[in-house]
Amino acid sequence: MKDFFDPRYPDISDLRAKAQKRIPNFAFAYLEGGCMEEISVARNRSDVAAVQLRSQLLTPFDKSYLEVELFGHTYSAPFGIAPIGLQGLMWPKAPEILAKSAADKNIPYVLSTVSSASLESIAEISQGKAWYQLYNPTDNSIREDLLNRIKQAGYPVLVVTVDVPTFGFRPRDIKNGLAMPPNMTVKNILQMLAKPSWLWETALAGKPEMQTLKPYMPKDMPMDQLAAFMNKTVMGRVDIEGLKPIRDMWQGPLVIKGLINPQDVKLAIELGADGVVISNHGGRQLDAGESPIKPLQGIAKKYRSDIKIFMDSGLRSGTNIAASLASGADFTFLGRPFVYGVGALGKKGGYHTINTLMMQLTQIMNQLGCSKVADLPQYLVEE
Amino acid sequence: MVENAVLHSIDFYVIGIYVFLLLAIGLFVSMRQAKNASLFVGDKSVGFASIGMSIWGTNIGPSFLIASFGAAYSSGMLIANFEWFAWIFLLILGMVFTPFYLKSNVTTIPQIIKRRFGDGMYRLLSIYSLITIVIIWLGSGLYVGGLLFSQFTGWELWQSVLLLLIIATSFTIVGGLAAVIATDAFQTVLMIVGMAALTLIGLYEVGGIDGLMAKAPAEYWRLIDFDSESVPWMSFVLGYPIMGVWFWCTDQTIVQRVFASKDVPTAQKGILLAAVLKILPPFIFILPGIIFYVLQPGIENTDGAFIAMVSEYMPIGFRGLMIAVLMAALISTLDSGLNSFSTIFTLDIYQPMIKKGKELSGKEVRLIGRIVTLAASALAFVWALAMEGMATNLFEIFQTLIAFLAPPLTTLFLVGLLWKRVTTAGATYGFVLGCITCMTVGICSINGQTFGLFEQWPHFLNLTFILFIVTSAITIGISLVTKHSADEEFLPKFKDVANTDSSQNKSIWRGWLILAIVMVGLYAGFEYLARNAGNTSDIPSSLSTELSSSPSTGSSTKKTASHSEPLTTNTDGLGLPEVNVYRGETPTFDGFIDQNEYQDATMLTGIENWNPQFSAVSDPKDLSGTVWIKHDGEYLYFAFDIVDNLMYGVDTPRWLPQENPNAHELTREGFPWFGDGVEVLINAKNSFSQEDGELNKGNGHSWQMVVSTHKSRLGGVGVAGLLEGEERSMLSAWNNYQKWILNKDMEAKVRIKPDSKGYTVEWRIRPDPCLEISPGEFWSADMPVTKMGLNLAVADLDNENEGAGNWGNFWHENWWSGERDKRTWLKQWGTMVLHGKTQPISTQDI
Repeated sequence: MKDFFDPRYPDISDLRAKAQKRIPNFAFAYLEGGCMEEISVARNRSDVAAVQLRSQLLTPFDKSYLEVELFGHTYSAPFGIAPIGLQGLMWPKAPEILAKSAADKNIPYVLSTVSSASLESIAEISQGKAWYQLYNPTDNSIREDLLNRIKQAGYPVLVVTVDVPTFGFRPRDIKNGLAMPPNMTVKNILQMLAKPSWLWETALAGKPEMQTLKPYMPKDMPMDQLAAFMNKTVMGRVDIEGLKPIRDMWQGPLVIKGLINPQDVKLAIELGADGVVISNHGGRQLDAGESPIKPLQGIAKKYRSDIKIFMDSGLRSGTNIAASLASGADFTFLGRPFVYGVGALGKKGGYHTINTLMMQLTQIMNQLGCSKVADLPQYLVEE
Repeated sequence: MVENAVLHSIDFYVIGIYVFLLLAIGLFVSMRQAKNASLFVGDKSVGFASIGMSIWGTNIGPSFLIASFGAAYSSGMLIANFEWFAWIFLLILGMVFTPFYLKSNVTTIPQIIKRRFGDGMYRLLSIYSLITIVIIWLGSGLYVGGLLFSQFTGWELWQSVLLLLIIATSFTIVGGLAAVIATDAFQTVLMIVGMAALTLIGLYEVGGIDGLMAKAPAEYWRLIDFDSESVPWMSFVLGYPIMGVWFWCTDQTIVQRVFASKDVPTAQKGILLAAVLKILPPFIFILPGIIFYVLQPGIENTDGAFIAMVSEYMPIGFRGLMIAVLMAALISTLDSGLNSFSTIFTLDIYQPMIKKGKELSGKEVRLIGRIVTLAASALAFVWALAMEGMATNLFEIFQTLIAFLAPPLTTLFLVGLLWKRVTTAGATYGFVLGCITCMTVGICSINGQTFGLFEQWPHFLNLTFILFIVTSAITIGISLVTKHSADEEFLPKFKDVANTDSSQNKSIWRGWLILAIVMVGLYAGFEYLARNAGNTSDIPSSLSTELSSSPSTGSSTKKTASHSEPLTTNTDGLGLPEVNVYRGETPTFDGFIDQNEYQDATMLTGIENWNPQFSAVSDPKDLSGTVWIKHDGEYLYFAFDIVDNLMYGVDTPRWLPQENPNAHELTREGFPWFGDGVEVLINAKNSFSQEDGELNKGNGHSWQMVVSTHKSRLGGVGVAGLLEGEERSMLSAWNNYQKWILNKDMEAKVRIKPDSKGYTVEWRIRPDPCLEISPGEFWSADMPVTKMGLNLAVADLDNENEGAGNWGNFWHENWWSGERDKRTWLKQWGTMVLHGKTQPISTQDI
């Protein structure tokens, strides 16, 4: 199972096509969609695709190693599974499947606060290897309680997402009236009925709910008020002052996710953060946003010695991962490809996707003549 | 009951499509079959799949559906025994009776008896068969089906009954048995698909298989229960076979499908298919009942459980599908009943008695058959409407009646056909006396009339068995003292008609063997579940030792579960409080707390220091007070004396929280607890799992009620008093709470202090129905010391800005027990130890 690879889907786009056939439209649209015109989603892709690498063939070379050391643990590959909200809506038990695959393959899985799985269950499934992604809980009591639970469950790394000061204006979701659990409108029901395998699995898995946050949600909150509640309590805007109490309460490695401005990276270093994720939230928050691959090189050159630099947004292949690492990232995260994998192949989808990306990346590094991940910047064709 | 608004136009389209398909199939089959085909056995070309599905569909009627769903809701899988034992009798039908029936070349069951015992017995049985068809297949099903249809559509009962009857009669008249069988097959598929959808949606709602396993009581998975009240195992094993032989092997409506088959192997394969399909009902008819119990416990009228689940959980379009399922269940039963009524009347009454045995032409048979079908449906119409005016529990009576119809017929067939020594006189007297005995016992036991002879009637399954023995004894006894009459004929031996050596026969036997293995596996699997899975709600009692040593005045020594101490899963190790409550003088129930009125009660103080859900209290003037608890044998009393310097809605405007502009509506959308007030939460059954987030059940088992100082159910907004509490999202809870308030099972009197610096509350609770310590059993003062879960809350809202930043701008809400955000979880409540006697006074102890 761990080495599962289905030759029918050698590329993430193949998985995507299969997943689209198996996931109801409203859920797939949430996974795919970006903010407003979705310009930023497309730009993330094209800017990553524009990165070029140059191979070096005549120097002696033995083999390439994908392992990367982060915060005292050596991971088997330089990529992890990014936090994705409402995963359980796209494929039942997706968080559980991906957390298990990631743990078995020894790469980090980052659990979203707005996941359908509870943080306690994912900690158990991932044998304590999963990371935890937190929004900014503005309610002090919730923040305290959540942090206690995260510590108690044994999460090694805390990722605080700071790039959602607003609810992303995503036209597809607005049209679909997206909610978790899904609204039973005629349109949604028809979309669900069109996907029998999803229906069956969903029935057996049960209604997707935000398990981690459930204890804090008030009784009988109507769906239309939930967003307001979330904004007010667990997803509020966070600035450097807001991060300080979290830094004080959390003694382990702290990663700030969603930065793109070098100024912010500097502030994060001053705060005492241990890592930053250069990201524009997969193009889901600011449609005119800069794609993170662009400033990455500059940020990496300046700050790589001070802080771990991670990158996500727009990565869909081993090539993209190599491009990001060559541009200076220590490590990368991918989101959508893993959900495509689970959507297409169910339980085996996590392993398949991880194996595909590892095979692709190995081929690229072998082709370049690069033996370790940290050396990839030497192969970048600088503009 | 159910408002018409439940149905969307799409639901009506779904129903329309179903009716259209049904009629199209019925008509198509009618047109296709040969002109001279028999109305009663078709043209003997029906395939095995149709036979199997038709037997299944005929068997499952709307009353079965509603009743088994309700039984599953109230006691779990036990009812599945009736499904999972049927295969044995289908096996007997297929492998023993079928070759015998088909080789004897008869069309009706009474004709078999005619050959064996002659005309007298023949006439008796023909009439008896007609009566049972009307009782079992036509009347009650139509009444129940029509009632359900009316509840969904809002039509009058007679309109629903008429529409359903017209649909069923139309193709039965035109196409006869062939059309009945073809449409039954279609409706069987529809029922399976529809009920599977209900089951899957239920699973989805309950949290999937994991959720169901965690939340359903373990005992709900038990199939074999020797001590059960509803299906005691020994009674079932004795009584069910008597019903099974009659119902599956000798009832015209079921067996008619066998007569219609081309040959023995086709019939046998069809019967095997029906037996295989019999695996399904527990999964798709009974499982959703269990799921619904987990979703919404506390529904008292379990016959309404099915409709409640459909209207609450099925999305648009699926409600129409479920109505189509109900219609299919009814029509597939009704058409079969109509057809067999017509068959027996035409062939066994009209031809031999009215036509004096003259041969009828095919044309004549068809004409008479159609007229009789029409007449039978008119009879069914009148019968169904007449049932509306009869006793309300008629439905149950008919369910039980089957048990009393069975013994005479089972005796006749088992003893009469198996043993050559049985004479016509023996069979006739056995049958007639048996019928009279069975009906007398049946009517008396259903009405609970014991004539003072014994305390209560035995379980109906035991009665069935005893009556079978009695009837058999009469038959055998009289046969031994009489001689065979002239028109008796010995039927061929079973073993002579069975074709034991054909290869087809072997493969059919192999099918039965596999089925038998599957059934044993299912029983083993569920026994495993009952022992290992599920919600082990009753934590081993730490009270049991105390119970055995304390003097027990009452007869009940019901074991009470208690909070295990210390509560190990309590994450931050908070100890949970406990309070002893004793009997005291009856207080004056007026809302005022007079001096000494509660001196014999247990006092709880320090509300200001209770666990704060919101801001902690810093000034006792802001919120503090005292609670007293006692009972007087009749009511449990809570009295609150609350100090509150600023009364919400009295000293301040009734400002609204931004979370809910409808907070003050007295509906499920309102916030009953929004404002100054107190809450009492009691877990009378004192059972709870260690599961996070488990909430009260919204019934006598466990509940949460609210007294507000500015609104009430009885007085409206502006008048202090009792309100329906949580979980309002559960319709059953809301209904129970409202009923308690309206019936004055729970009452509260509130007095705002003259200086408006606080208020007093007197709150009394009648144990029946509010303190249900086990299903149907309510706490009373003569019981031994009883523990219940208890939590108390006192809320304080002041001006809107006081609680700014808190949810709902709540200022204070202090709880006697439990952690913040978790205090409504059952496992977080404290314990109230209820003593029947008065508080021991310390001087007396010395």
